[in-house]
Amino acid sequence: MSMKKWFGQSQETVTPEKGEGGVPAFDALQAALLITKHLSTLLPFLQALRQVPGEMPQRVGLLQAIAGEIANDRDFARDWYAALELLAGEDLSSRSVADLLALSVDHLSNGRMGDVWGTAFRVGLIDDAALQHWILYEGLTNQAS
Amino acid sequence: MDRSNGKHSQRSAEHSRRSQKQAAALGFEPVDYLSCLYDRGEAQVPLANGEVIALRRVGLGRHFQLQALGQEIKDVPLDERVAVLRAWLKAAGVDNPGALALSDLPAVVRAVKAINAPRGQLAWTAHSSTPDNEPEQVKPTDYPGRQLARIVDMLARHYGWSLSEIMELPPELALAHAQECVLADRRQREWQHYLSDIAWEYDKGSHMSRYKPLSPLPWEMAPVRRSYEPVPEWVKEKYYPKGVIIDPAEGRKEWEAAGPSG
Repeated sequence: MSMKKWFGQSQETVTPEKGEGGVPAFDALQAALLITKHLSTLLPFLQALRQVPGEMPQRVGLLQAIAGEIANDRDFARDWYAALELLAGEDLSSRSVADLLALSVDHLSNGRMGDVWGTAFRVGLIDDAALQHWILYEGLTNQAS
Repeated sequence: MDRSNGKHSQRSAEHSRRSQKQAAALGFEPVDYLSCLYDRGEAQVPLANGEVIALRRVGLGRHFQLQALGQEIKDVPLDERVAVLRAWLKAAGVDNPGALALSDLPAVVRAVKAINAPRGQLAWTAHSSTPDNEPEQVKPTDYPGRQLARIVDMLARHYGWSLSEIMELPPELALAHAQECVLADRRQREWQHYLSDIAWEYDKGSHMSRYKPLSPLPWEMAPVRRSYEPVPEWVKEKYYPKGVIIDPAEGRKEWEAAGPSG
């Protein structure tokens, strides 16, 4: 997938896909670890997204802010896209940026990612520092639900 | 109560008391050879889909591989850890780790760790590790896995076992045999040293030759007793027992407890 697609300003209608139920455990863990690398950058945005209801125009602004954050860091873009493909279980190269961002927010907020992080910690894949991010993230998902 | 069960529990209590005493004297929990020989260590982990994974304690080769991969999980970057975990589970005998559900993973990992946990130590392994604050010296002849290669070499030379036989040995058993090999080699060397001229020093004063033994292996010497040894407390003289003390073995006898001065 080209970087242009990631960093473009497409405003297509967002149709989030649901859940990681069918994702193999190791793919879900790999995605969680890829996201963990950048979770500290993402948390403020995720926190802000929780406070903005789905239909409000500010949400688009926040998603663009995340896109901007990703644009600043190639490593972040690569990891984020790889994680999304693992979670979606399909090639996402034809999706728009808005689609991808909405998809990622949906994946992160559906509660199952919390389980994945918990498992990653219990099997020794992430340490205490990463766990702190996870706990903070869990706090966010609890607020949302 | 079943009498045989009672005797068994008495025996195991006695055994555990003896082990504790030995551990206290040595400064570490020693390997129990018979237990390692006859109790290989097995676990059955029920999975979410109703199936059961049967796990068995790995042999020497896989034991070293598990340790190396376990360390690697901590050392490699975050995005490479999942691949290492998969390899770790395969090394532990999980045939198809990719088929495990997320909810099954912690239980399987826990079971693998539990059945492959160290079962005591041996003098040469307990004393040969480099302290944390001391940098490990790397020699040009070193290579990853050399420690295992040396154990294989010792066991193959002494007992004539094949590589596959050695790799399947329970780890503590293999290490115990390797320690015996080191000690047997040592006795041989001491005997050769005893027969050589360099072991004898002529003392002009007594006109006799004096034997200069080889310095013992550091881990072969009497163990340094650590915190296990109770610190003796000096008891003040005024607290010493005085008067008549009855000794039931010899009948009534008068003892005047002498103080520390005698």
